[in-house]
Amino acid sequence: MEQDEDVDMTATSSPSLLKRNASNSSGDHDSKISAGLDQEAMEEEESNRRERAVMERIEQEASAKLDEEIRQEEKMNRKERAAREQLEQEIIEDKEGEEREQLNIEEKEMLLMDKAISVLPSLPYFHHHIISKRRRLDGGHGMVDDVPDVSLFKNTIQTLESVIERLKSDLTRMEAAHARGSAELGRWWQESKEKTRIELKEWMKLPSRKAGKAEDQDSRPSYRQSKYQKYGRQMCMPEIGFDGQIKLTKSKVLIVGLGGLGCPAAGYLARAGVGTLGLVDGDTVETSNLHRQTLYLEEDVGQSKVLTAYGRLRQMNSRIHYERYDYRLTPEKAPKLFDQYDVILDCTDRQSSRYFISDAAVVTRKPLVHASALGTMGQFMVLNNPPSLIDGNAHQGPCYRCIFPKPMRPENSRSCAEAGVLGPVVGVMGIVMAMEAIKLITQPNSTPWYMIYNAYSKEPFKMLNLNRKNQNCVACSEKCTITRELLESGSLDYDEFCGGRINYDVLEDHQRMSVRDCKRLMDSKPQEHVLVDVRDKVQFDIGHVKGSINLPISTIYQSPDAGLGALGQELDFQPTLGKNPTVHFICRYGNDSRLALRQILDSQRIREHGTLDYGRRRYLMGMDVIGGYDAWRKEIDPWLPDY
Amino acid sequence: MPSKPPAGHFRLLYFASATSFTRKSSDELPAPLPITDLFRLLEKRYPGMEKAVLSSSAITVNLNYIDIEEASEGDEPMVIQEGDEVAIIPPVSSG
Repeated sequence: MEQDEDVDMTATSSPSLLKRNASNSSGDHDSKISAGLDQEAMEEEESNRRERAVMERIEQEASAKLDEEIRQEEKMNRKERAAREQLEQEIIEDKEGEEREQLNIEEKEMLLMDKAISVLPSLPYFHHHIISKRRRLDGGHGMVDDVPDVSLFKNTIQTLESVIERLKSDLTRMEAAHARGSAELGRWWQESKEKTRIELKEWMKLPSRKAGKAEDQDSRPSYRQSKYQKYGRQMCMPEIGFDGQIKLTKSKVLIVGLGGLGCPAAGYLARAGVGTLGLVDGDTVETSNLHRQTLYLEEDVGQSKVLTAYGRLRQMNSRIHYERYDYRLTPEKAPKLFDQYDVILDCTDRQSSRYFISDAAVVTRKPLVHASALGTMGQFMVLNNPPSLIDGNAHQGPCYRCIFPKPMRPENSRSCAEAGVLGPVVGVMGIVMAMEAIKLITQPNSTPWYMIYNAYSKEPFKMLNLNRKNQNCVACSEKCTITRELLESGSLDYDEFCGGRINYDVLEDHQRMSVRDCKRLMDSKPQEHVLVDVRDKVQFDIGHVKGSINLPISTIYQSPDAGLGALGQELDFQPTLGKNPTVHFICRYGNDSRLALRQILDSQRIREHGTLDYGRRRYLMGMDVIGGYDAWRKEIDPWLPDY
Repeated sequence: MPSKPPAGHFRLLYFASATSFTRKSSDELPAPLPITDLFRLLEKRYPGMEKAVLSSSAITVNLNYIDIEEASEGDEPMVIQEGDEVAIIPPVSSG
């Protein structure tokens, strides 16, 4: 632990501290740390002295590897701490309310574990059997032992799957430690064992808690007491009250998408004590998610979002039930999944899922809390509330298709990856979603509303009336054509409906060149070639290929001829160009630049004249750069920002 | 709060891709204007806008959602009046 803190501290401080740290340590390890930390300190000042850093970087490439090792160790320490804290937390909780039960549980658990191991192949059935029996004893569901409870059985399988998933990743780490001959192996083993114990213990306990009458007379009041303590502040609110809290406890909320919207929404709903929280996402955590996706930490990069979120949420509230769906939702699966929930939160990030989630909510008659965010702006709606009825309910709320019957063409619909988004903007929307879900559960008859948040506007929040259904809506009107059967059959192609994928294959092979060829051209004949970058100005300002000039693709889309005019004007200021330069196009990944060049080649000006004549020069239209800025950064100039 | 549009005008607010297309957050246009002429007028000012933005956007007049087709139908199509506030709200998908 001590060493861990040293590393933490010095990682963000001055070189003098580094030396002190180095002198405190000893031997081989010592040099590893100092080399690695030098590297880190350097990176901080990188923007000021990039040139010099290049040289030093080359010298220290070897030490970067060691640096990574140290970070790994640090990560392990942190994980160990987290596991210990989790354990401590559990001990405290046990003491709080279940001291008497604790002993019994410990004993029972040991017996259960022993038995479980001996009957490992039939573990899921064994668990099912035990829980069903418990429920029957509790008088909970009056279940007969031999009749399987399918959802309980499913939960069993899912839990085991996630435990196995984690065990696999533990194994990978242990294998790596083993290969290195690291002393950490023992600790890893212990930690893995401890985690498994905790997870299995939690799992074994879950259903009996849900049954309500599970605890014996002595432990019951203390359990309820802790519930009052936990939710007291919100139960005091007249809007919630005791009844509202009970409704929350019984509610089932499904969150589709655990990104910038889903993270804060899930956090608040878990803390508020909803009964079941379903988590759907097929993605893994990426570094570029961390500025807005509040459930994830740096150490989670590469891990499953659902499993990571589940771990964090359980630390926030271990007393509610979580369902994990570690996959990307499809139209076929959506209705069956939605059936099991009371409220759906659409926290996804693509247009096609927006439509099929709305359609699935309509056919399963579930209210849908919808939000989206891009750049500095967010939109929020409560849809399908009250849930549409096919037989024409005058009061039913509109669905997503009522408001947006026609999807946005893909080239005009941009994602966070392309356009950027501010963390608090998407956070605000996610939190509003959680609040509306709580309202829907506790006061189901609230009116539909639509809110637009525009962070940089004079009027940041704008409320709009959304009380009109589209009488011709294909999903929820009397004339609807979208049915549950159609959705589940998978015959509805939502990607196609949303304009399919953009066709980037609009150029001939000879109209494209690699970054290396482009670099060669620019270097050998700088007067005859010029590179035009079609990204946004903001992105261009973050970093661009030296000597390139900026002409955002939006300008070209708006009007290719006007875009050419702007281009001519811009190029006219370039004193070093010769009389007949050739213009090449680059973008971030090599897609937009193709569309841009196509648009320009198809413009009236180029079709008629073949060239752009502007000022003293005649410009020829050249090639598209394959792989764009990203490839340039990887292959030519690693010091361009990897934003 | 934003000021009122000048006499004889209504204010048109742009959101999301409507803002990036027009490079503006709002316009002030002469009123009255039949709603049927709105898209035509915008297309003239901002070529390509109808296809790229307007056809899939929601339109509100004085904070109320308007179905353009429905509002354009009948003997007396809806007319945007002086001082009205009209908003172009394209769908946003990301989160």
